[in-house]
Amino acid sequence: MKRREFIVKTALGSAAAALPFSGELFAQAKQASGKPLDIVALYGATASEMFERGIAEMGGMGRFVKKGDSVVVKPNIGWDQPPEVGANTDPDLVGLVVKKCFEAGAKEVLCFDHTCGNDWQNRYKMSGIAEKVEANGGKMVAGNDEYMFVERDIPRGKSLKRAQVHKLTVDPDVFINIPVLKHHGGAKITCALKNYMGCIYDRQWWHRNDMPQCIADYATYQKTTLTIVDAYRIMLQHGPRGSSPKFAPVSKYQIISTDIVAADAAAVQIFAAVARQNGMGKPYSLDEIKYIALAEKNGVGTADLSKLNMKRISLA
Amino acid sequence: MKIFKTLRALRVAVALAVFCLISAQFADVYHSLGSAYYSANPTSLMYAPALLKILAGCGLAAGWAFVAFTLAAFAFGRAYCSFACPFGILMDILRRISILPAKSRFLKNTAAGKFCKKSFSVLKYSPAIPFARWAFLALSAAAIAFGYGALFGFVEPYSLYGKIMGSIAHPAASLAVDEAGRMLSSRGVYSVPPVGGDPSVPLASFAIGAAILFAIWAASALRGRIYCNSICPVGALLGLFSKMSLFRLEVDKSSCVSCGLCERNCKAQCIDAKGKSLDFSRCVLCFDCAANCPKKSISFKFSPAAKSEKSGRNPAPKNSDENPRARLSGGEGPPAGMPRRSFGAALLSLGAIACSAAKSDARAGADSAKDGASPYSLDPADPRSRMPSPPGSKSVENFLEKCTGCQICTAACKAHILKPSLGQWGLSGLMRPYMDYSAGFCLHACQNCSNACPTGAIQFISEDDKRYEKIGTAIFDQNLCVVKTDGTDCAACAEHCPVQAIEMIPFGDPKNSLYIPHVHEDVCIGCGACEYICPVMPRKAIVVKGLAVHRRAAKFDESMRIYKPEVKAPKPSAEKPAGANPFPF
Repeated sequence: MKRREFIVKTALGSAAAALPFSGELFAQAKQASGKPLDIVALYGATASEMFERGIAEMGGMGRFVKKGDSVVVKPNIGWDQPPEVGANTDPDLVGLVVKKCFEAGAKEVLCFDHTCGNDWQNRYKMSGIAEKVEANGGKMVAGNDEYMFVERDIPRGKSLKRAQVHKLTVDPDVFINIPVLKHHGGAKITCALKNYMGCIYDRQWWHRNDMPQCIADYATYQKTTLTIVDAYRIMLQHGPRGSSPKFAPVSKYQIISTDIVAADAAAVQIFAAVARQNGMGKPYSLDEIKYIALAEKNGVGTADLSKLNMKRISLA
Repeated sequence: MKIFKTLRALRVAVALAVFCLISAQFADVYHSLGSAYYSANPTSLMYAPALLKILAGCGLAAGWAFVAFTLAAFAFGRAYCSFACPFGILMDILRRISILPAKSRFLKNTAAGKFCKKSFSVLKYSPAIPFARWAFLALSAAAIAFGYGALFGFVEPYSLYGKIMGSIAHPAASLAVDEAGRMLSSRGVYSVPPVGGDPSVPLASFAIGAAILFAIWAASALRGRIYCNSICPVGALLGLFSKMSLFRLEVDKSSCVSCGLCERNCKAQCIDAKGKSLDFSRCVLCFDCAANCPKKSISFKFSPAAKSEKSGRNPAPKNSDENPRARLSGGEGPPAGMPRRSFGAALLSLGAIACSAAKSDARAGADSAKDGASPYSLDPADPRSRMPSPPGSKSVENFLEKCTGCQICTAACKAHILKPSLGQWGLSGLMRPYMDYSAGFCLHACQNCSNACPTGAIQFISEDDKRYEKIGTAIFDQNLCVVKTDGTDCAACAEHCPVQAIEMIPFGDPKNSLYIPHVHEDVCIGCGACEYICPVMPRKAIVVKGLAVHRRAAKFDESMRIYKPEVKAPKPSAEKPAGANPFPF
C-alpha cells in the first residue's frame, strides 16, 4: 500500500469507526447495549462457536475491518506442539478470524509469529495454524529471520526505547492479536501483552532488561485493533511450552476486547478460577503479573473491567 | 560399436542422475527432502562410506554398496568410478567446462579458446604412478584402522566432493535464497521464506572447499582423472580388483591402426595407441574409447587368467621419456635420484607421524574426562563448556573415528548448528562438524543428520530415541543468571527446554515472587536450547557440558518436582462455572 493511500484509508477508517451510525452491524451492537461493547467474555462452547457469537455481539467484523484493508493476525505459534497441548492458539479460531476478515472485505490477511526456535515452518505446521489460515485464503509470513525485522523507536518506552520489530507490525490497517491463555515459567501467565514478544527480533534483550517493563513498553508502540483471547484450553502448568494435554484442561472461555490490558486482566482472573477448579497450577493474583499494571501505567489500556462496557455470555 | 555407444549413453545418464540426486541434499535449502528420499538415500551408494558403515557394525546390508561395487570390479572393472562416484562425475563435468571454450563457435578463435584447446582438449597416454597409488591406499588403510576418519576424508573422493558442496554450494544457495527473500519482502512480497538459522560457514572452511575445487578443476583440465589413478584410495583398491576381473577392456592388436583417437579422449590416460595397449587397472569404464573406435578394436574380453601383471606394466618401459613430466604434474613425484619405494615409505611414515600427532592432540583433554564429560572444549576458560557429538553418534569416540567430514550433515541440519570445525575437535578433526549452540539448538523433532550420514559416524536414530538421547547436561551458574544479578523475571531457559529438565523454583524473598532455574540433570538431553536462548552475555548462565558417551535420559515425572505450589482447596459452590455467571469477574 502506498503511503498516501494508507493515510487516506486510515483517515476514512477511523472516521467510520468514530461515527456512531456508520454501519448496520454497528447499529445492532448499539441496540443490544446502548453503546458499542468494549469487551465480550464468553463461556461454554468451542472456540469457533464462541467467536461467532462474540464478534456478532461486538458489532461484527465489519466494525474493525473495512473493505480493502490489509489485516495482520498475530496468534501464538511459539511451540512445536499439537493444539491439544494448549501451547499455541486454537487453529480453528485463527482460521475463522481470517475468514471473517475476508468476509468483511479485507484485501489480504497475513499471519506470522517469531517462533521459539528456528524450525518455524515446522511450528507453523504442527500447530495446525498454517493449514487453517491458508485454507481460508490467508498467508503465512516468516517471522524468525533478522531480515524480516526493521528498527523502530518506541517513543513512550521506559526500558525499551528502540527495537527491531517485524515488518508486518509497521502501520498495518488492522492488527488482530489472538493469544492463547497459558502458564508461563518466567512471566507466570502469558496472554495478550506477552504475545507481542513474537513481534520483535531480539527477545533476549528483553530478558536482560526488565522483561515486564519491556512488554508494557512495546504495547505503547503496537497498534492493536482487536484482542481475541483463546482460553478454550488453558495450560495451567509446564508453560509456555507444555508437555501433555492433561495440563491443559478444556475450560471453554474466550475474551474479545478492544482493550488489550483489560483482556489480560480478565484472562488472569479466568486462569486463577480454572486453576482452583482443577486443583492444578497456581491461581496467580493480578498484582503478580507485573506487566499488566505497568502497561496500564503506560496508558495502553485499563485493568479495571468496571470502566468498560462489558458483556458476559454463557453458551453452556 | 553400437553396444558401447549404448553403454556410454547409459553411463552418462546414470552418472548425471546419481550426481543430481546426491547434490539434491546440498541444494535442499529448505530441508524439504522427506522420508521417501532418505529411505532410499543415494549416499548409500558411496563406496568408502559403505565400508566405514560395515566397520562401524551396521551390517553388510547397510554397506551393500561396498559389496556390490567390489563384486562389479571383479566382474568387469571400475564401474563405480564413472557411474556412481560424485567426485569423478564432478571432474568430468569440470573437464567439459574447461574445454568448452575450445569447442564453442564463438570462443574457438579467441585467446581463451586457443589456450583451452592447446592446454586441455587433448590428453596423452601417461604411465601409472604406482608408488603414489599404493602409498595413498596404505595411508587410507592405516587411517581407517587407527580411527582417523578425518584424515581419510581428505583423500577419499566422496568426502572431498562433500567438502566442496558443503562449504561452497550449500551456503551459497542458502544465502542467495535469503537475499532474494529479503529483497522481495521489502517490497511486500512474502512468498520466498527465509531458510532459517544461519547457513553460513567459517571463512577458513570455505577456503578449504575452494582450494579442493580449484585443485581438482586444474587437475581434471590438465590430466583428466589423474586424481583417480594416483591419489584416490577407492580407485587404487578397485584397480587392484579389476586386475583380476573376468571381463576386461582390451585393444585388439590385429585390427587397431593406432589412429590415437582413443588415447586423445581417454580421461584416465590409460590407453597407449602406439603400443596398442590399455591399462585396465586405471580404466574408469567411461566407454568413450570403445564407443568411438572407428575400427571397433576395443571391446570386453573374457580373460580370467592372471595376465594382469603384464597389462599393468607393459607400457612403462616404452614411454620412459614421459616419466619426468608425469612426475612433475603428479605433484607427488619423488626428488631426483630418490627411489620410488623410499618415497612411498616416506609418505607412509609422514602419515604415521600425522596420526600420532593427532592422537596426542586428541588425548590432550582426556584427563579431564573423568566425570564422563567430552574431552573437547569450546571455551577453555569455562570448565562447563564441553563439546557434545550429535545424537546418533553414540559417543564422541565413535563419532571422531568414523566421520570423514563430508559435510552432508551440515547441509542437512535444519537448525544450521552443525558447523565444520577448524580446531574445535583438535587438529585431527579438521572439517568435522561440531554443534555450535551459539547459532541455534538441536531441534527435538529432527533426525536429519542421522538420516543423512553415510559413514555410520551418526547412526540412524528413531524419533522417540532421539527425543531422549542424552548427549550432554546443562550446567547452570546461579551467579551469572539475570534473576539473581538483576532481580528480574526471565525463565527463558525453562520455557525453551523441550523435556522439562529445567524447573523454576522460588528465589529470594517470597514477596518479590522471583523464580530461578534448577536443572534436573538426568532429564536434560543436552540439546542446547537453554544455552542458545540464555540472555546473559558474553558468558551464558547455562551451558551444555557434552558427554563422552551418550545414554538415554530419564523422562520428567511430577514426583521429581522440587517446588509444588500450594493450591487452596476448591470452593465448589463459589467456583463451579454454572448458571448465569460462570465468570470470576
